[in-house]
Amino acid sequence: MSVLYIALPIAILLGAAGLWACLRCIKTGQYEDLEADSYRILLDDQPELSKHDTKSS
Amino acid sequence: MSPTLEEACNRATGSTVRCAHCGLETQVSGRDTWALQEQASSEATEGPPKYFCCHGCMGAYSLIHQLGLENFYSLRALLDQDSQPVRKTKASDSLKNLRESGVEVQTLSDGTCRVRLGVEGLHCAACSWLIESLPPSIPGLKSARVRLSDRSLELLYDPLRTEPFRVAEYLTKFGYVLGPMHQEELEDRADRRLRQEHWYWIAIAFFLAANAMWIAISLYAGEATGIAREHERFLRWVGAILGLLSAAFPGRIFFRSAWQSIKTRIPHVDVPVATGLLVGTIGSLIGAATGKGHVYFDSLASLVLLLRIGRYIQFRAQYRSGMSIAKLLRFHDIEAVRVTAEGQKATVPARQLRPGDRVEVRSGSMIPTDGVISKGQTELQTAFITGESRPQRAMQGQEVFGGSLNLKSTIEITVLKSAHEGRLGQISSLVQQATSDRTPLIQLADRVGRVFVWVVLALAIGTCGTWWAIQGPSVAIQRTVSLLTIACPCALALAAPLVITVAIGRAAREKIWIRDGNALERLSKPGLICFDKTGTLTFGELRVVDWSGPVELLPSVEAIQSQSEHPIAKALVEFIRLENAHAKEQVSACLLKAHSVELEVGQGIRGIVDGREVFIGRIDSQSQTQTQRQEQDRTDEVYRKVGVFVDGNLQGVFRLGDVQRPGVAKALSALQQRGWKLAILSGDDSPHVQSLGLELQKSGIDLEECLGGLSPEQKKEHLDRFHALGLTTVMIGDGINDAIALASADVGIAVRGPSEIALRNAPIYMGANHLELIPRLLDASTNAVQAIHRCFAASLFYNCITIGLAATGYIHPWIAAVFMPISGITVLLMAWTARTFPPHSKSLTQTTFE
Repeated sequence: MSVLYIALPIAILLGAAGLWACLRCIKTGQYEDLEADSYRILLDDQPELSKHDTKSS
Repeated sequence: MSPTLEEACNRATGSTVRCAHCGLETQVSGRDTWALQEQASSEATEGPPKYFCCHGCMGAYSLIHQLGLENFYSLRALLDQDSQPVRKTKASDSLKNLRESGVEVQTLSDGTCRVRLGVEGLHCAACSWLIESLPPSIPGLKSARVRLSDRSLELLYDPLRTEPFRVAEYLTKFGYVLGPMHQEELEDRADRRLRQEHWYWIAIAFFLAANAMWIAISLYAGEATGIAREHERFLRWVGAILGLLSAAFPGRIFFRSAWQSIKTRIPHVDVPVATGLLVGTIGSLIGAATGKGHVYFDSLASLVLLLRIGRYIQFRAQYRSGMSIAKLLRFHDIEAVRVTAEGQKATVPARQLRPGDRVEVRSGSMIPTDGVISKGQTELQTAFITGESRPQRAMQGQEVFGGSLNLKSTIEITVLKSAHEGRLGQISSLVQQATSDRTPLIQLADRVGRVFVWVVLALAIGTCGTWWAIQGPSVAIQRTVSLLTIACPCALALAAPLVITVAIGRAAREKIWIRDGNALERLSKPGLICFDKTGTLTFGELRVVDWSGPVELLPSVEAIQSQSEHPIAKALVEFIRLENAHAKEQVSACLLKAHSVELEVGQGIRGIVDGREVFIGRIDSQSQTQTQRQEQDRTDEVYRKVGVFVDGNLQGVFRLGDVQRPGVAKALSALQQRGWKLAILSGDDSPHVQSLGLELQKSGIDLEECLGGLSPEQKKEHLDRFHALGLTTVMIGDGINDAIALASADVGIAVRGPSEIALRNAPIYMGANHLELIPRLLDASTNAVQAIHRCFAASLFYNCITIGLAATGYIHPWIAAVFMPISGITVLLMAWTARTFPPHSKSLTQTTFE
């Protein structure tokens, strides 16, 4: 029994996992706005915001 | 949270002023950044300091001053007494009742609401940061996420503690205006779903293709270096399964549409494509089962991938052009300010208006739909609907039509018909119908497309058979697949409808409404154009031709005639005012007052100005004998003479007539240059028809016929006679009294009258009284038909070459799959860029009517 019979399905399954992640990204609309996120990473002070958020709501 | 934001909130208690530019309420405080004192143009103004809500407004204000346009502000105040800050009401009111504004609110499982709103004034990352920093300062707002790509904002909020309206109010302070997403944006959302689906399948196809290719590589490597028989069989099977999956899932769309086309017996582009895929699938199954020959599953999977990508690109291109056409044809997508019984105002799209609603129409905006004025009076520009180019007075209780432009002051109307039933809605649906009509050229394209599919299938069978016999199945299958993939009649099927639709849409921009796409095809070759005289070549009403007499007399004439409603009086007054404006002579016209003005029916008008008795009227009645009068009548049939008598002495004479529209001669000679023959068919029985003909002949225009005194039936007979001579007959006239002639001509072009009646009688209606538009329309038709022919030629040429190459084996299936969308997109581009209506040239815009 060659290792090929195990390795190939595993390789394809790993690839399929990647595919699944990609499909999820598409479905949740993560590719819709590539513009805002690239700025958001530079500007947002998220930790502070979320603290306030939990306090106020 | 940020300090600036906190400051801004604290400041909310300060005293308020109005922004000098936009009128928005702003707070004043010493170190206030939001209420800026004017610094930029201190030299431009004296007086009290001006306040601005933001730098943008201050910039606009100082720019307006620098350009010397400060009258803008006083004019604005003058025109619309109640010009309140428009932006604020717009932002908040339309959000007060979300359901009414057509905003979709999602309620999540934990009771939180999610809503997506459009944001105006969003410029850059800083804006999105500012908005996203909001939640802590508004209790109940959980999160705000900005999407820059379509300028929208998603709010997550607790409906018990806050509502989008409050957020909107808050954001208005910062200069961001929230509103419901517009129709276009909603359509964009439907498109986004489709786009996601495309991406989804492309991702799957890519995964399958990439894996299949690796397996194919191992097989090729195994062939070169030696491979165990069982391993080879295993790899073949895995590859075959991947290929099959690819054909079965991402490739399903092609099989499905091919199956539909077979079921409905309408051959479709996807039939050859699906056949190609099927051949590939069978090939790869045979390969896997027998373990012989080349492998196809990698080709199959990559073919599916490339075809899907091609489909996506085509979808994008089609969608874009479709959107632009939709925009071109969207005439009635106007916003309206609805006033509720309690006097509250809300901005809603016009299509939501129902009969009985009260709507406020500000000056400068369009009346959203047909209704009756219930408050106020104004002047309306109704050229869009009735072809009347001069502003019309509209009083309370008068019926007004959607699409009219409110020129003067704010009015309130009570809606009579919903936007779809109103005139504007009817016109746009008539025009929209035209874009879906199948004109002869489109039908031809359809037929050719169908034949094409069968020819391709036959060629494919031939290719397959020949190569099978010569080089065996593997070569045969590969070449057949390439041929089936690259042959693409879509260019044929797409080009003609697209060109016609684009032309109709662009024509609508020029206020030429085309109900019937056939008209465009018919106008592409020269024939005979018949004109109606009254109202088409002439103004259709009395106007002053000239005035012989002292200029000083004119103010007195105006003083008397402005008290009369008679058509002649109106013509005289208009002429004198025009003269005054022309000479820039502010003669004290308005200071002169006429006393004891008396109308003498059939004779004229008498009055006392400046202590002198002035009589304006028939020359014969006072100073001429009976014989002279008869003589006068005979020579004076073309022009009417009106004399001005001061204390019984004839001092000056006006000549009045139905004057030729300016630019008629120019337009007619432009038509002649294009090879069209011209004729006048008029119902007018006066010698004026002949004199107009002579006048035109003097300016170098040959008229085939110049007939007056025709009844509508006689006009039709003449048109039929011309038609029998083999000429394309075009009738240009006004929509009502020429109805029969317009309908019986090959192409009827209506130039006046209510447009939806005109559109029913004639396939083309011109909303603007530009005769110059006719040459443009003819050019547009010629260009459109030529563009269709060009697309046909390009498509046939492309297909002949590529099918030849594919059959002889010069094109691999992959390359074929790449080429397929390219051909389609090229044709789309050719159709879209066809210069059906080239941009206005200078000479055309300058010689406009009134």
